[in-house]
Amino acid sequence: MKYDPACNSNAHLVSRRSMLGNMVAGAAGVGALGQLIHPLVAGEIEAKKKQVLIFLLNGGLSQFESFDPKPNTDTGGPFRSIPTSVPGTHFCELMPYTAQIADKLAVVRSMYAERVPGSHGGAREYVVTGRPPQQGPYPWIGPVYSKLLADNEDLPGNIHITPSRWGPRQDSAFLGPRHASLVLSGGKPPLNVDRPDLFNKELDDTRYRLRQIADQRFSQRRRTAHTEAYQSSYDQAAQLIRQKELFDVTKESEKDQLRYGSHDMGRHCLLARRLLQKGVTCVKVTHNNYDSHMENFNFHLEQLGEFDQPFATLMQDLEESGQLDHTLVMLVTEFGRTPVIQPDNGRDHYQDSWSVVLGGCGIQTGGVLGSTNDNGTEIVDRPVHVGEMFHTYLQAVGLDSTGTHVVGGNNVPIGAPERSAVKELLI
Amino acid sequence: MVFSPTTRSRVLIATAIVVTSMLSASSHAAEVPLHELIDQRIDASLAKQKLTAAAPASDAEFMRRVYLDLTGTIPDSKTARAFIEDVDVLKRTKLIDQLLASENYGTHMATVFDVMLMERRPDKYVTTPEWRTFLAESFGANKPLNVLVAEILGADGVDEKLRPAAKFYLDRAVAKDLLVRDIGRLFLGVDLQCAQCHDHPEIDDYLHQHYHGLSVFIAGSKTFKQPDGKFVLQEVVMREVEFASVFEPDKTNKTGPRLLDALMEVPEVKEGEEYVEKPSRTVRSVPKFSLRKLLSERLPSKDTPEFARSMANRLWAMLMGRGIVHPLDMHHSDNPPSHPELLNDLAVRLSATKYDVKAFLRELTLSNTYQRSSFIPEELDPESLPEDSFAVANMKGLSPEQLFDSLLVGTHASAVLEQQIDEALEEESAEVAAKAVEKPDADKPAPEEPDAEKIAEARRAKRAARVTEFVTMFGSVPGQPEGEFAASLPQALFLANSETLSGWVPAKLGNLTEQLTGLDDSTTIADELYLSVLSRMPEDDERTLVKEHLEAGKADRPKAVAALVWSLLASAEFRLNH
Repeated sequence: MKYDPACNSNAHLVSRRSMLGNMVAGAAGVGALGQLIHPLVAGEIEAKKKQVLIFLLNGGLSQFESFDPKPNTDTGGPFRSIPTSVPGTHFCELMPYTAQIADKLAVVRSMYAERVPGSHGGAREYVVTGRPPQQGPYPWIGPVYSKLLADNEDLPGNIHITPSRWGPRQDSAFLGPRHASLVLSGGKPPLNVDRPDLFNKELDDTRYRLRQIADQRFSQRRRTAHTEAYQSSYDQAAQLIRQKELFDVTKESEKDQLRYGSHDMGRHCLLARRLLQKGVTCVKVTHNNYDSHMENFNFHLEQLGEFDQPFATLMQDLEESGQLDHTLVMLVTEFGRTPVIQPDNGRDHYQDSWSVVLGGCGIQTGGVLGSTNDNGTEIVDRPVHVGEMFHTYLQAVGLDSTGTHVVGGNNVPIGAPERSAVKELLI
Repeated sequence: MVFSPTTRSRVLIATAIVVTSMLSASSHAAEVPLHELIDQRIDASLAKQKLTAAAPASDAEFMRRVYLDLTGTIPDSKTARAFIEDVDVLKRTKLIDQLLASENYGTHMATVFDVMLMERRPDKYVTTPEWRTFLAESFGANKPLNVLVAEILGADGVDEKLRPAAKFYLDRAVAKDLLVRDIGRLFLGVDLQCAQCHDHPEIDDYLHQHYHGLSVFIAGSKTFKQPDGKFVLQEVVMREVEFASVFEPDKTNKTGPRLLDALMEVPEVKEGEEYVEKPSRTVRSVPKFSLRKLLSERLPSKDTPEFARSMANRLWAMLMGRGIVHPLDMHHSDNPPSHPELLNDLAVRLSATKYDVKAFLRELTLSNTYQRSSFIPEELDPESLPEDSFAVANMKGLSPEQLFDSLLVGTHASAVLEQQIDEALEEESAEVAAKAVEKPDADKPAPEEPDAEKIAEARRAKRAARVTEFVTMFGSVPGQPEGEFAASLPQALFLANSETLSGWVPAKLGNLTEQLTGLDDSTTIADELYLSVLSRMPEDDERTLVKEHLEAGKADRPKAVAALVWSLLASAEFRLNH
């Protein structure tokens, strides 16, 4: 029997398990791992004011129906392309509002990655961790920002707005649950943020105070890694309960609610604006239903019809308020879609080339990087690997992506060490 | 032809790993009880490192710990008080024996081994309740651990009695690479994943041939769907696998079945006579010589010293909060055991006692090492004290199941939980009724009155759903081992405000808050409160705190008491097994 390895990478790096294995067995007090990851190296203090807005288009946005249209070719599909605010650059006609703010964006048309196990989940993990999933789990980029930019903040450093129910997930891997995404399912406040009827405001304070007294007593002459992490989770909870209106998008003006639209994507974008204004470091907005194996064109017509206007509105608002100067915007998807159009008008998964869009802080905007051939079957100029983008996302906000997380005395490279940032995209 | 076991000889006995030679060297140890031997080894290493051991744990601290470790929950207040007040000098030993004989021991060990072996994967072909019942019966009856593991590794899912044991294979869909990795990690203490494509790049002991040698045992196995729809395992004949390093793709190697360095011989069978049932689409293929059976005989046995070593290390970690080899699946020469001789002693004793788990856990819990306080002595610096010194009891986070059960015991809220379940069931049947009115289905017969068995089943399911809430919130990611203790914001919000727990705290149906509200004297209240939640008596300053708080809150006594109850439930002292 010929052996066929399931793991198709021959450039194995650290798996979580082998990484743990390399830890010095006697590393001092391995308790909450998060507690042990040392503060960042110098030079990143300045980066602390930076914020990040991530759009994750789940399912695999078609590059043909968005940022890399190929009208009038065998692969191009029925839609036309339209000019944008950048002379010579065209988008698909499904994105008229985004086309008007193209000058605030940098479009990468030459993204690629190797195929990895796990279909959507695996490919998504590759995009947001910069590592193939079989080497992981590595922390997703949101938790990385939370760790490196918001380690000591009272507000959660990393909030995820998602249309569907999305349970708590440990997307923070070895960075610990402190940096895991706080999930706003359906754009609603986090679970359990309302205090029970029993405890009014005053009694609520009392019970937290009594709890703290008990902990202070217990933690004297005991290992503090455990007790401190526990205490800090309650501090965060108390803070959050006090600031519940942070999640209440109806507190925004009626005019703005109209401008963004009453559908979910509109509300979620407005909520994202609100969270960024209140100082949350990293906000991720998920938009679903791009997995168009059938009826690709109808799906994109509908999904981009929802996405286009609120996205462009949010970009404009961030610029007008000056926030775009210190806020990185990323628009990512797990992979692109095939040039070949199936008989039922579907496009399948495509990892040989797709598009990613950046804007805001640290980014050279108003241009296009990389290109594909006439009918979009292959990259002809400046291929950009997902691992390179991971470095780029971090360096755009002034973080040293070539540095390391220190986990229990063991150094784990922040970005894949064999990759580096895409300099052409950075200011 | 039935294969004769005598021809199964071990071709290669020399092992690169030192365990074999160490096993024979320590026979003198057999004279000393294991718990004394443990203390000798640990004390000697503490003396060498110039570390002071912590004082013995108080009765209350010991009691809470051993209850959690052996039965998965804290004791109720009456039991706690009785133990603390008991003057019998042998009471700790008696408690250990009592807990090991209790029903809760079996169910707790079933949870521990389910989580260890299945790592919270979703059910596929064998349900968690079936599997846990099988494990609970096995541990309750003190089935030798090698026998249990042999049942798991030899299972085909056909025999009804042993079908749950097949969960290990079936619920991993008999996926070879996953199984090779997990058999290595869980039963041998080695994670061979990185040796899949080449010799391990960083760990010299893990070889490419180890991975593939192990894979031979299961390479021929896959699922088979029986005519009754049940999935079972089938096997085709396999003798060896070919493999090539990704660095030298042209150089093909071969190996037969091997457990690390021990290569096993596969008997020659005449061509055309290999099968009891030949492979076909309709019949489950059964070879005359089963490699899975060979694995189940040879892995959990003296032939494979890594088995006893790995199991001893896992059981030690369960009680001591850290493996002697740590992480538990990273046994290799660059990550040596913190106490190699002790690990050897433990492995030798485990196999010498025929893998008697109760006897083993009894010895561990009897040791001074286990019975130390988690309170760090003045002479030691808490920040620099290594966890693997075992100078101080290591604190462990309560597992989701331990947390659920302990919160329920601590709040005396069983009746409230029953009511929550009633309400959920009523709500559900109201919904069904409403739907039936809305959309009457003429073809569907009127629902039968549910019988007692169905009601009980529905109640069990509702209770399980509450536990699942805790598992989702506090457990590890499916497919990953439980990690170290960590705390998060959603967890704190859950403990502060979730419907489940905030139902248990307010005065209701004879729960703790209601009981305490009915008491007059604040000292009595404080004593009962601390015994119920923290399994110990309060200190004087804590009694004072309770008194002052009740004074201040006398306008609404039940609420003031509820705040006190919650504050202790949410304390680190409760959340941790210390």
